[in-house]
Amino acid sequence: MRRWLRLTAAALAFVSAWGCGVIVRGVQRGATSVRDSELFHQGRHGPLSAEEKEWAKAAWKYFENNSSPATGLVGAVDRSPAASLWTIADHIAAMIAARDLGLITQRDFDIRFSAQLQFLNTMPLFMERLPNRLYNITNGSMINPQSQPEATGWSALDLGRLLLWLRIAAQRHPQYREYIEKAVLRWSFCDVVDDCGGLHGGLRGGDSLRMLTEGRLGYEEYAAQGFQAWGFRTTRASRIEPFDRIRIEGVEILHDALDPRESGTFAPVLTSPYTLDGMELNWDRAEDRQSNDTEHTDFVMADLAQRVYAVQEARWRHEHVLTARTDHPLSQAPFFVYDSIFVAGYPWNTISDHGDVVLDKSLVSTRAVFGLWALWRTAYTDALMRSTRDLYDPQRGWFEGRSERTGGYDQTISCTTNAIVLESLLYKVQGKLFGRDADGSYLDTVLADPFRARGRCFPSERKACRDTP
Amino acid sequence: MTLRRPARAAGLLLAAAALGSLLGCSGNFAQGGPAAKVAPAAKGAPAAPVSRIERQAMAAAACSQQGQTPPVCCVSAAACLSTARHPGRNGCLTAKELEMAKVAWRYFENNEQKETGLVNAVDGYPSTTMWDTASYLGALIAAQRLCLISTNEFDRRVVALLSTLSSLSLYRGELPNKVYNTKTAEKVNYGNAPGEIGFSALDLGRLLIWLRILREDYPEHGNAADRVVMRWNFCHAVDSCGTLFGAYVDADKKTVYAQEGRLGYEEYSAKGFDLWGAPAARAALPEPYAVIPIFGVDIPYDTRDPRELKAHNYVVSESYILDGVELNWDLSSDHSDDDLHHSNPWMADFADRIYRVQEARYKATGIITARTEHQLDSAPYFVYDTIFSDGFAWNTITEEGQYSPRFAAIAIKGALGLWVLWDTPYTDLLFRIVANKFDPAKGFYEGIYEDGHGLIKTFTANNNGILLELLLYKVEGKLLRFSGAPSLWEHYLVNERMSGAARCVPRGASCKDPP
Repeated sequence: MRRWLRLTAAALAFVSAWGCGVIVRGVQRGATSVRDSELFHQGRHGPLSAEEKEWAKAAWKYFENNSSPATGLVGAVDRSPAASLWTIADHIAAMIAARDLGLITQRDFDIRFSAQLQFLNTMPLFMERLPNRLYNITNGSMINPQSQPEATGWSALDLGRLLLWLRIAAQRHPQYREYIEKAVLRWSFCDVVDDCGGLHGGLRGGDSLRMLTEGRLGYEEYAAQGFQAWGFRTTRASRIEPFDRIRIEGVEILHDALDPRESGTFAPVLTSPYTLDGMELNWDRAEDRQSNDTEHTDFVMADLAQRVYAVQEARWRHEHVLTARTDHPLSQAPFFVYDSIFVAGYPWNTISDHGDVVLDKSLVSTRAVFGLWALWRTAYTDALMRSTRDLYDPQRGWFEGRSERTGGYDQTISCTTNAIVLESLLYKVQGKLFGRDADGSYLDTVLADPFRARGRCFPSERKACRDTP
Repeated sequence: MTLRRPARAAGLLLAAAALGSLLGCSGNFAQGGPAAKVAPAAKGAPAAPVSRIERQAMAAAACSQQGQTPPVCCVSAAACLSTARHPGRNGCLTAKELEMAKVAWRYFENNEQKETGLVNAVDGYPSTTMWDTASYLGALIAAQRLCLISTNEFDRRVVALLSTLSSLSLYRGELPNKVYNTKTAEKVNYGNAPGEIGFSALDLGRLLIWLRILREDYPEHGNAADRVVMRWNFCHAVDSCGTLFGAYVDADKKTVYAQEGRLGYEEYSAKGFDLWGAPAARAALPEPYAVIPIFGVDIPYDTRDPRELKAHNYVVSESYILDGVELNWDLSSDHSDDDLHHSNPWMADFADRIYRVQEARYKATGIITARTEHQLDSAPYFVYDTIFSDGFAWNTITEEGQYSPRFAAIAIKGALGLWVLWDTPYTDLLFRIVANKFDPAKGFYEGIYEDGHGLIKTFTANNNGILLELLLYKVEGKLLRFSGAPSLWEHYLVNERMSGAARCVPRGASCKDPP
C-alpha cells in the first residue's frame, strides 16, 4: 500500500513537471530516470553502460579461465587448485549474473550449472555429514589448506553463503530446483545449527572434532540469512549482541565485543558482509518476500551497513584517503588480510589472520568498491570507482585492488572479487537478487513424509531451544 | 617513567631508623585541636582564596593561642578551616591520615643512602631514576611540613641530596642519565651495572617541578637547587618548537634523540621545563588526541600510533593526579592563589573524566578501580595498568606491550590520588580499601590485585612519596606556591641569553614549522 502511494506521488510530480507538449523521447527518458531513481532502489539502478559491459566481460573471463572440466569447480584464486563452498557460491552467483547480463547463452549456463549440480550431489562429505572446507577442483577430493588430501571440517559461513545462492538459483531457474534440494538433503544440519539458532564450524584436530562458534558481527549475520532461506531458525547467530561501540571519524561503529586478547580470535569490521547482504537480500529478513527495495526489513543490518559506508566516506572527506576495506587475499605474504575499518582495538587496522599488524598491506579493495558503488550512488562511490575502474586484465579478470600506501596494483585475481563484480553489475540492472519461491517442492515432499524422515535436523525436526535465547 | 626493576637485592641495607623528635605541634593539628579555635570564617560562607602569607599569619595566631612559638610546620594548622579552598579534600590530617603519613615516611627512613643522599627507588635495591628522586623530594618536603621530621633532619637530607645532584656525572655531559646507583651515584643501566643509557625528558620534567617547589618554599635551599639545573644542557631535550625529546643509545652505541611523552605525562612534564624558562609549547598541547567513550565517559587518548611507534599511548591516573596536586591543573605561569580556578582548563576537564570513568566502572561492574602504572613483586616487575591503551579499555600491558591482565591492581597512589582530589562516596571507599595496606616497618604496599590474589608486596619511593605529597595537598592545596623571591636562576638565564645560549636555555631559535 505504501509503495503505491509513493508511486502515485512520483507520477503526479512527473506529470506536472513535464506537461503535455513534450516530445516522446523526452518523456521516455524522464520516465526511465524516475523508474531508476532512488525512490525505488537502493543505490544504482539502470542498464549497463558500454564500459560496465566490458567490466562484466573481464570478470567472467576469470570463470572461463579457471573452470575445471572434470568437476565443474572453479579455483578460489587464479590458477589455484582449491575451492571452498564460498567459491562454489561465487561461481553460482557469477553464472546467474553472466546469463542475465547476456554474457553467456542459456545452453552455456545449463552446461556449467548442471556440472555444478552433479558435483554437489556426488561430492564426498566430511564424516558423511557436511561439505568439507576445501576441495580439489581437478578430482573433487577433500583437501586441507596445504592442498593435501585430508578432511579437515566444515565452515558454517561458507555453507551459509552457498545455501543463500542455491536458494536464489532455485528461485530464478526453477527447472534445477529439484536437484538443488537433493544436494541439500544429503547434508546433516545437526552440528552446524543448534536448536537455539547458533552457527558452529567444525575442525578436526587429530582424532577429535572441535566445534567452534564461527563468524563475528557481520559475516555471522550474513551467513545466518542463508540458513534462514532454507527455513532454519538462527536466533542466536542473527542477534548482533554482544557488541561494543567506537566512534571513528564521527561515525559510531558497532563491533563484536569479543576480546581478541583473551580469545585469540579477531572480529574485524569489514565492508563485504554488509554489501553482500545489501545486494542479495536488500537488508531484508530472509522470510520477507514482499517489501520494495527502499524498505529494509532487517533494519539493524541496514543501519550497520549505512555506518560502514559513512565512516569510509568520512575518512575520505576528512583525511582525503580513498577507503574501501574488507577481507581479501594478497599477492605477497601474509597472503590474506583483514583490511579493516576496525579490528583489535584500532581503526583502519590491517592484520593477518594471525593478528600480525601489516599496515602497509591495505588496499582500496576492488570487491569493496563494487559493493559500495552498487549500493550507494554518491560522489564518494564515484570517486572510488574512478580509482578502480581500470583495475582488470581483459584476459584474466579483476585485480584485488590498489595499494593504499603505494598506489600500485595488487596482482592477485580471485574468484570472490570477480563474482562480486558480476553480482554488483547484476544488482545495478535488477535490484535485490533474492526472489520468491513457488509453492511445493521435492524437499517439502520428502520432509513431510514420516517414512522418509531423515534424522538430519532439518527445520521440521527441530526441538525448542532449551536454554534462554 | 619509574624504574623497571629486573631484580631485587636480597639484603636490606638500611640506615638506623632513629627518627629525631617530632615537633610538638604535630599532635595538635592532627587532632584538629587548633582548627576549632582558629576557624574564624563562618561555616558555609563562600570560599575565599587565602594567600600563603595570610595562612602563615593565621598559623602564627593559632600557635600563639596555644602558647607555642610558631615553627614552620604550624603553617599546616592554618588549613583547618571548614570552607573548601581547593578541589577535593580540605583540612587537617586526621589521626588515621597522620599515621599513614608516618608509615609512608618509614620507606624513606629505610632507603636513604647516607653516602649520596639518594633514596632507593625500590625497597632495598640501590638504584633510582630522576622521577623517583623527584618523588623523594616531594616526600621530604611533605614530611617536613607535616612535622614528621625536624627542620634539622630536613636540611641535612636536602643538602645531601642536592650536593649529589649538582655533582652527578651526566649522560654525555648533557643531562642526568636515566638511572643511577644510589650508593655510588654512578650512571648505571636498568640492571644497575655501570654505564650510561640516555635520559628521560619526562623524568627530568618531574624533577624540575619539585626543584622549583623546593626553591619557592625554602629560599635557603634555592641557590643549591638552581645550581643543580645550571649544569644541564637543554639543547637536545627541548627543540625550538617546544617538543620534548628523550635520548637512548642504539645498537651502534650512537645517541638517538626521540620525541618522548604521551597525553597526560607529556603535558605534565612540559610544565616542569616551562617553570625553568625552557618553554615546551608543543609538548604542552593536548593534540594529537582523540576520545573513546568508556562507560559513557569520553576518555581522551594520544593518537600517536603504538603500532608504528614504540611508545604506548596509555591513559592512567597518575599524570593527572600529579598535575592536580602539584600544579592545581594550572598553567606554569599562573601565580594566583585561587585553587578553585584552573588556568589549564582542558587538563582539569580530562582529569575529571579520568576520575569519572573509574567511578563509572565501579558502578557498572562492581570492580573497585584506581588505575595507574605500578611496580610488581615478580616478573615482569612493572606494568602500565591503564584505563585505555593500545586500542583497549582497561588494558594492562608490560613495557613491551604484552597483555597481562592478571597484574591489574588498585594502585595505592592512584586510589589516594583520586581520594584527595575528589571528595565523593566512591573515593571514601577507595580510602577504606587502601588505608591499611602497609607494613609498619617498610611503608605502603604498591597495590591490591584486582583478581583477588592479594597485595603487590613491593615498596617503592614513588608510591610512598606520592602518598605523602597527596596528604600534604589535603592540608595546603596546590603544592607549587610562588614566593616572588629573587633567584640565581633568573640571573643565570639573563646571562645565558646574552652569551648566545650555549646550553639552549631558553631557546633563541624560532619554531620553523607551524605550531
